[in-house]
Amino acid sequence: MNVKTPKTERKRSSSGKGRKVFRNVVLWIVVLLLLFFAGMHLLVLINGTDDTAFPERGVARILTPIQNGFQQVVNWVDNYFYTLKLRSRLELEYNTLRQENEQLTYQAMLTQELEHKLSVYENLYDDISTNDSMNPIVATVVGKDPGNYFSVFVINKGSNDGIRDYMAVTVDNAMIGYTYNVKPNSASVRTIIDSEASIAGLISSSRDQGTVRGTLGINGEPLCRMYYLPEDHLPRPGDMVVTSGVGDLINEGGISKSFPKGIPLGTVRESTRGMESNKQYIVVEPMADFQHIEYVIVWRYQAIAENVEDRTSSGDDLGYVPLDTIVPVPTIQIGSDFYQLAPTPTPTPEPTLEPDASPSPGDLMTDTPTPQLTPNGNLEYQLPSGVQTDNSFNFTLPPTATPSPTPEPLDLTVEED
Amino acid sequence: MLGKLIKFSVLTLLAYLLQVTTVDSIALWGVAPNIALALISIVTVALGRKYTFVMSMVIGYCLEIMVPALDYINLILYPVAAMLAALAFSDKTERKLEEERTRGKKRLQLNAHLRAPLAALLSILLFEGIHMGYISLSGVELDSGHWRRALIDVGYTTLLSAVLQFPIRWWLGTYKLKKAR
Repeated sequence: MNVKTPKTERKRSSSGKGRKVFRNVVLWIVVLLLLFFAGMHLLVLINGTDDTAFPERGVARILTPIQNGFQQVVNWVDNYFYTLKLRSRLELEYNTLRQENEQLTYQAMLTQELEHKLSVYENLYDDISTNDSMNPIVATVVGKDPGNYFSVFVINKGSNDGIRDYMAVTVDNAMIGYTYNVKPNSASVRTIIDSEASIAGLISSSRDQGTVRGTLGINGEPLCRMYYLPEDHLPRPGDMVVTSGVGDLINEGGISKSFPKGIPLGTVRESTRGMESNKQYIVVEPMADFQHIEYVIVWRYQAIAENVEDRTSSGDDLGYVPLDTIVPVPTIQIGSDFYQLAPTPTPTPEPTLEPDASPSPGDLMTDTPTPQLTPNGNLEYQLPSGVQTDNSFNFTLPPTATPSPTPEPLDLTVEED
Repeated sequence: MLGKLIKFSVLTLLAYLLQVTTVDSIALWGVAPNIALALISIVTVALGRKYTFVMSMVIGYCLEIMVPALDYINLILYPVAAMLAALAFSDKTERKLEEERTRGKKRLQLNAHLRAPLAALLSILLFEGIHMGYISLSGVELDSGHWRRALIDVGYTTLLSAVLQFPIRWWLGTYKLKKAR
């Protein structure tokens, strides 16, 4: 059975065959052309002459502008991606550097804070180690009264740490106040600029004693005034005012309001005396910085009243009954100054030899030594025979240096030319 | 018909232009791939040996006259490498397929998408091998750096052909062809 092929398929197959033939012809032409070009190029390479280089010159002439244009496009795309990459990298680096900068800033702040703490601790340690016998303790300021008339703050140490009322509080080698209202775990500190504060002080140069009080409640200034100074002496500006160690005695519990002697309070601002309700005063500028108090030292030493020996006496005896006395006022060494007024340690006297028999003046006068001329021209005193120098006056004169002979004068004559 | 020739011509020109302009921009660890061989291997599988020969010849000739690094090498090496790959991995002829069918061979030929990178691998291996041999014969002692660069080039070119074959085959219209019954 013969099946007739449709007309359309016959047409398609014939056209497909034609296309294939045409394509093959084109390809063969291209191949031949390529072989021709390659052959010409080989001839150029072999002969070394440009006679047969016309095909490659033509190809190069066509390819060069196309290649240039394509290269520009590629460069543009390349630059675009490079810019994108650079931008992302820059952004990344910027973010990284920013983070690093923040970290460094934080570290710098931390370092600064630690440096400050270290310096504070060093000062505190110096004070504490120098006056270890005063039983010091470091406390941190945990609260401040923001009032304009009183200056008090709260520290984080209390009676559990051995703190009692009226203990001296210092910072940076200067007294800033004393404790009061002590609780188990905290205590209040009244500063010396508070007008309620009253501390016995003395001027270190003249030893004039008085009472130092704060002026914050009087005129709002963070200063002190010193009252009850002797009228016959004029303090000089810059004179140091320190605690005098003199204070009240509080019988309850035997606690004294006196502070260790020698803690600097401030300096005399001016020698002109002011007058306040018939009381003369001088202005004292406190040494401590009351605006930046973070750590303080509380000196837990307190003079405890104790009985004098043989105090116990019978009730009928109306004889002398010794009063309560406090133990000797301690001294405190702050900074380079050492304030030590009482008790002053007396040096142990060295034993001296007592003369066995004091010679009478007559004996000495009778045997007056006569000077004799020595061979080298010096005068020499001879003691009379029988008189021993060791037992006479219990000292010997040190030998004097023998004078050396005067050198010959130099010949200073000048020869004339 | 003309469309196919035009597309082939554009692809050939593009392969040459990409080879001489772009490869440095897409270099990995300082090693540029051979885009021309990658595209030739794709054409090998998609269009056949004749197109492979023409394309490799054109590219080799253009590279020879435009960027002559070594005399004859591009002109000879590109067609040789491409035709060797085409011999191994291009579509088998109907006669060859029939012969294998009568011999009872089950798997007649590999998938085209696998043959394209394999063709690229073979051609670039030959290309790199000849270059390494040339360098070695020139008196240069081959070290690990040479081998490393050659391996990167081989891998990169193979990968490029595996990736680029999909858009190029689609553009050439290979996916539109009906399978022969």
